Formats: sequence, structure tokens, C-alpha cells
Amino acid sequence: MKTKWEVIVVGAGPAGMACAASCAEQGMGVLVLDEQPSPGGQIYRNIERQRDKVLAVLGQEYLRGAGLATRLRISGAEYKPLSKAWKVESNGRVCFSENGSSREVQGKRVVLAIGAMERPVPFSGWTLPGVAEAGGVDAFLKSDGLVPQGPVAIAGSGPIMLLVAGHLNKLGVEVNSFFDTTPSLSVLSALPHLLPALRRVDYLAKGVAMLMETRKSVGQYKRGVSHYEAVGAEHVTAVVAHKHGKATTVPASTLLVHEGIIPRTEFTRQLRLAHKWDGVQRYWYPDIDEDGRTSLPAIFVAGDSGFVHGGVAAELKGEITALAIAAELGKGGAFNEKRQKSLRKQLAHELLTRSFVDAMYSPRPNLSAVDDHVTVCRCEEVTAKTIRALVSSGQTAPEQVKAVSRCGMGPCQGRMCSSSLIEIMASETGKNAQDLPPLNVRPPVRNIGLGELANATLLPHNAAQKSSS
Amino acid sequence: MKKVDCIFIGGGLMGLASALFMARDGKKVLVLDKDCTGKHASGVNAGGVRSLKRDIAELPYIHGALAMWHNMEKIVGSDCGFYQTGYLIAAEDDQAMRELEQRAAQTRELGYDNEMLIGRDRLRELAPIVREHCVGGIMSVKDGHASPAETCRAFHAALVGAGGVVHNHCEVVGIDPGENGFCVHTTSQGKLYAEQVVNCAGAWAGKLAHMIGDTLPVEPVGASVLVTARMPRLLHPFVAVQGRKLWFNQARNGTLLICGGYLADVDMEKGLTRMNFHELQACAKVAYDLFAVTDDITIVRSWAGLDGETPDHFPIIGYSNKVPGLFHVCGFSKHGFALSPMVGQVVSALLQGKKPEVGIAGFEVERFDRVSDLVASNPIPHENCGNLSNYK
Repeated sequence: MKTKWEVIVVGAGPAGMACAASCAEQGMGVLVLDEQPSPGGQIYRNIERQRDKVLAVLGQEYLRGAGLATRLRISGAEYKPLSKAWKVESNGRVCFSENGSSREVQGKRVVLAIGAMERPVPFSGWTLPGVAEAGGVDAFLKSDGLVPQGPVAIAGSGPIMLLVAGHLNKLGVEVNSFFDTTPSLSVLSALPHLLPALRRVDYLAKGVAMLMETRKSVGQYKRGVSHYEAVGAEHVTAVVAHKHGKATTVPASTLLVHEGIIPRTEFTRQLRLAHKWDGVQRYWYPDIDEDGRTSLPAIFVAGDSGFVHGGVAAELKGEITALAIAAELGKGGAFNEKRQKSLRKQLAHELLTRSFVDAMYSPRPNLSAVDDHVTVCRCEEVTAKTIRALVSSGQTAPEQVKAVSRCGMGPCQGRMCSSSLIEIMASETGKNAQDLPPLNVRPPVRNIGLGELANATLLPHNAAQKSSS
Repeated sequence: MKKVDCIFIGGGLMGLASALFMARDGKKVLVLDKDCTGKHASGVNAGGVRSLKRDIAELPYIHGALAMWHNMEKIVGSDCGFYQTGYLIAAEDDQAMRELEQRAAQTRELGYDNEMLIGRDRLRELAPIVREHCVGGIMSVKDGHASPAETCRAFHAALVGAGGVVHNHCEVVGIDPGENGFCVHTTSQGKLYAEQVVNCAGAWAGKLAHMIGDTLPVEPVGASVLVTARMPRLLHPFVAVQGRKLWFNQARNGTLLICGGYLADVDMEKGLTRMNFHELQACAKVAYDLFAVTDDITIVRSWAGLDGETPDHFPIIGYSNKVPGLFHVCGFSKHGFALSPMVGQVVSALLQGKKPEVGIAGFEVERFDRVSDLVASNPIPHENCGNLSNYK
């Protein structure tokens, strides 16, 4: 396999596919490293070989990915499935693991298009088998056609919940309760953003239709739920929803939760790039320009891993980044400038509703108000109580709390707990979350075997320390 | 602004411990850190508390320190996560075993009885994962493992409890030595005054000395550690193999820490280390050679603390011979963590003009005078001092 590439794209969701395909179409040598077995990312997972039954459920929006995947396949980009990047260097080097063996490759430009993830939020009972992220259910459905065991309860806030409830309804899975934690006052903070959103009536109408359908299809629909918990010994057996201090208990074999979507920043943090805090959706995102450029000349970020805007926007952002890279590497065609302009216009149109939706589904303020006994870091079994005790003993930086408590030090390197750690610390200290820097990530960003490291094919050290253009 | 007795520049364990014992003697002390206490090597190391095969010169220190580690709860109000694991060095062949026997005889002669030889059977029992060709080894039972982060936290808290003051995010930008002590210019606290100043700035000790008009051959260095996922209990002691660059240890939570002086790249502009996977690969290869279970071990992280290193790898402890009232305690060269409580007691005594429990012969800065003069007379930036090879 070639070790030197003009562009290495990490991830093959909408942003990665569009970016890689566009770069390859413009004559660049492109390597795509994808953790998944086939192109699509989370949103278009398994799009190339999907069952008809599942296609019928997922509909037109999912099918959009088919064209994108085909475009990637015929673009000439080298696509590597089941290849996990585990280290990205500022000079454009990437280490990745494939079939238990690791190698290092060099790109003139590296595009991080690793997407977003559901915000992990700890609550009482969240570690019980049977509790899952709502989006995770769609992932199982897309890869294996699997559906969760009913009765199902859905809890949390955000459009994904409605989407998943709709899918389950079409599949004939019983959703007996839908606990919506979106604060009713959110409508007020979203109102100022309504005017631009009205230019996308199609989008809003779809949202309203989903809401109506969900209300009809689920057993009970409860609004204004303040928080919820899962109950059970070996497996979840019931869900308790709290509203105005009153608790409602419903039997459930599966509890699906959703509390919004946050960018995956493990590589930008491993690279120690600057990050910014979004006060509405409450997450850290990498500081990039409109082309996805970071402060490192060799590193770009495209799609939802830069800021969560959804699949269609991610595709446009991937394409925009590709054109920017083409210009930098002297590969751009005569019409690139015009194309870039048109893409930006399309992106702006796509984002018209975003501020409205983001404000509407801003994380509820009590997300971090979990009971002391709740485990926050699942890998190292660190409870909310431990974190609070360290804060009150004077530890004021997340890295300090991590070092002493081991919160975020396990195999997932804080993917599941770092956002909650920041929220809990913010509410304990009264500090603004933006003054609590996100945890460092240390390579390897994905776990690799000791033997695999011993036998890895690395490029010579010190050569090509500077990124070439 | 009132003058304090002593300002410690650098909030690592050397500074915290020295300041703590001085504060307990009723002195006014101030610890300044440009980041926060325990941010670098003191809080970021493998946590080993090892007397086994310490250099002879450091034996009085480590034995004093060991007694303190076993008693930390009483000293700083926290056990610092210390627990006794023992340390073990295996011999791969008879030649290596003979070297270990000589070492044990040497320490016994000096009056230390902690290093015991063990045979093949006992080795298999204590560390079944060491590959079978190993013939025996040497062991020190009282050694153990502590939590670096908790140790720093506890010393910091104890120091504050004893009346000491710590200023985090307070960088020193200039120091004026005068007739009546020092004026220290800082970023966040303005001017601070002290009778004496202690350079305990770790990786920055060379730079700091330079700022005060002294020269120290202390270079920044990053020592890497590989961390694995939790494993079932494989071994209790820290294990090394004679003649090989490797320490292998299983922490209380089951993760393995694998290290052995493998270096990370150092970025002093940003004050951080970057993992060098060629070094880590070398480390993994040695581990793979010597231990039997490595196929199912997964690495989940790696990290490196930022320390200061001297050309002969011994620390520098003692007053500057150029700037009166300036005291250096630095250059611990990746093995200072375990020594720190004892060093703190010694430094505290010396700063108060008392006779310390153990002497500092061999650790004074004078041993580098030849090098320092060389540096002073040549326009070599201080960053390069440590690279002067063949010093002796």
C-alpha cells in the first residue's frame, strides 16, 4: 500500500464521502480510513447493501446516501474499510489499525470527518442492560435489521427521538411511553430564530408532522418531564419519569434516551488544537474557518465533527473543504470558485432552521443534577459524589479531577464522561463551562494491542516534520 | 509587600514537600507555579516507589523516604494512594544473576538489608508472566506504588494547612537578587520578596537558573508510559529484567503500566510532551519479548511527564555557588518522585541552616563547574547544556 497521499480523509459519513470523492475527482490521490465495514457513516450506515424492509422504514432521506457512496466508489479514492485511525500528527501523518495490524501513512492534507455522537448523560440506572441511546437503535437497524425488545420507553429531548419513534412505529415495535424533557420555556428562546427558519417551511412542516405522528403512535406522550431513571436488577424492567415532583412508573424492557448530539473531537483534542464552547448546545467544538481549516496547515475538519449541522450540511461542508484543499494544492479547476460560492449558498440555506432547532432543543439545565451515587465514568467507575468532593476540596480544572479520580482515564478516554464531567464541575463551581477546558486525549485514540504496536510499520521519525504543501 | 522566608519556584513535589516542612517549622513560605501544582513530572509519572537497585548515592534518601511513604497518612493526612507491592528484577541468565548477587552483596555491606535474592521458583510464583527462561532475581519487599496525582494534591493541601501559600498560574518573569534577599517579578502577583529563593522548577530549572544569573546543566526530558486496559491480576510487584529497558507494573485497578525511560518529544514552547511512537514501539517490543501474556493486552493510552535531567542523571541539591541565597533542588532525571518526601525534609533543614538527616555530598552543583564555566564562556544557549557529552 502507498504510504504517501495528497489527502487522507478519516471517516466516510456524508462529509468524508463528499470530501474524498471531490478530491479524487479533481485528480488528487486520496486515502479514506473508515472504521465501518462500508461507506455511509452513522446516518447512511450500510446504505450499499440495505434490506428492502429497512429501506422502506428509513425512507428517502436515507437513500440520499446511496448516491454519495456510489460517487465515492467510482471517484478513484482508495477506500479502506474497518480501518481505525488511532493517532493524527500535526504534520499530516496518520497511524491506523486494520485487521489487527497498524501502519503509518502520510498526507499532505488530513481531513478529520469523524462526525458526531449522542451526548452521553448519566442518570440513575443508565448502566443497566436494556438502556441505550436512541440513535444507537437506528444503528442496529441499519447494520443488522435488529429491533429493540418491547415494551420500549423513549426519554429525553431532540428531533432524533421523534425520528426513532417513527421508525419503531413502522417496524411494529411497541413504544409505550415517550417522556419529553424539552423545557416548555425553550420555545421562547427559540422564537427569535423563527424568522429565518420560516424560509424552510418544508423542514418545519416535516418536524410538526413527525411530532403529530409520534403523539398518535406512542402509548403515552408526556411533556415537561424534568428527569428520568431506569430501574431493574439485571436488566431494565421499568422507567420512572419525574414531572412537577410527581413520579410515573412504566414497565419497559428497553429505555432509549437521547439528549442531543455533540461533535466528536478526540483527534482535534489529541492534536491540542484550539476549541470553542457553544453556549446553546453546550459542547466544545474545534476552532475552524468556513473551509474547515484548523490552525495547523495540514489538518482540516469537515462535517459534524466541526459543528453539528446534520447530514446534508455535512455533505456540503465536505465538498467545500475539498475545493479549499484543491486550491491549496494547485489542483483546482476553472469553475471551482463559482462552485465554492454556490456550495456556500446551499449550506446557508440548509442552516436556516438550525439556530431555531438548536435553541429549541438546548440541553435542559438540570442535566448535571444527577444523584451522588450515579456513576459518571463507566470505565473507571467514578461517581458524581467523587467528582463533587474533589471540586469542593479545591480542584478546579477538569484535568486535575481526572488525574486524582481517574474519571476519563479508561479505555474510552472520556468519550462517555468528559462532557458530563464538565457540566457537573460547572454547576458545582458556578463557573461558566467555557472556562473548563475539555480533557486532553492521548494517543492511541483507539485501543490497540501491545503486540500490534510492537509490530507496527511506522514512518521514520523526524523526517517530514513540516507539512509540505 | 511583606517579605517571606522562602519562595519556591515550581509547584512540583520537591517544592511542595520542602515548603511543607519549612512551614511546619514556622517559616513563611510561598510556592509559585506557572501552571498548577503537580502538572508535570510530579503528577505525571508511573508512581513507583523503588529502593531496589537505586544508585548507591541515593540509598540514604530512598530509605528515609520509604519509611515516610509507609507513614504518609500521618505526614500529609492522606496515604497518597501508596501501597506495598514490592519491586523485582529478574535475571535472564546466570551472568545476569551474578550481577544481581554482586549488587545485593554491595548493599548488604553498606548496611541495607532490603534487597533479597530469589530463585526461579519464587520468581514464577511472584511474577508468573515473566517468560520462562528467567533464572531468578532480586527483590525488595518494602517498595511500592503511589498515586502521583493524589500525592501532589495531598502535599498541596498539607502545605496550605500548615500556613504555606500556593499561587497557581503565577509565572516568574524576573528575579532581582539584592543585599537583603530577592525580589521576584511575577505575572499574576506582581513583585514578591523573599529572604531565599528555591529553584525547584523541574524541566524549567535550567531556564530559571539562567534568568537569575546562574548556569545549570538541566535539560527538559519526557519519560513515556504505556497504559493498558484493566486486566485480571497478573502480578503484584513492579517487575524489570536485568540489563533491559523495561518496568512492568499492574496498578490496583488492574491496568498495566509499561515504561522504562522511553522518551517523548518535548515542546518547551508550549510546555508539553508529544508521544514518540518509535520509542513506545521499542518499549512494546521489549515487553513482548519478556512477558508471556502480551497478545491480549490492549493499550488504551500513553503519556509522558516533563522532567529535568542532568548529564550524570543525579539530582542537584544545594546552594548556588554564584548567587547567594539561591538554592537548587532539581534535575531528578525521571526518578525523583519516590525521593521527594525525604528531599523535602533535607532541603527544609538546609534552608534553615540546620543539619539535615542525610547529607547532600555528591549532589552539589559544583560537580558541574567545569561544564558551567564552559557554557558561561561560550555563547551556547542554556538549552544545550545537557548535550555536552563525555562529562565526568
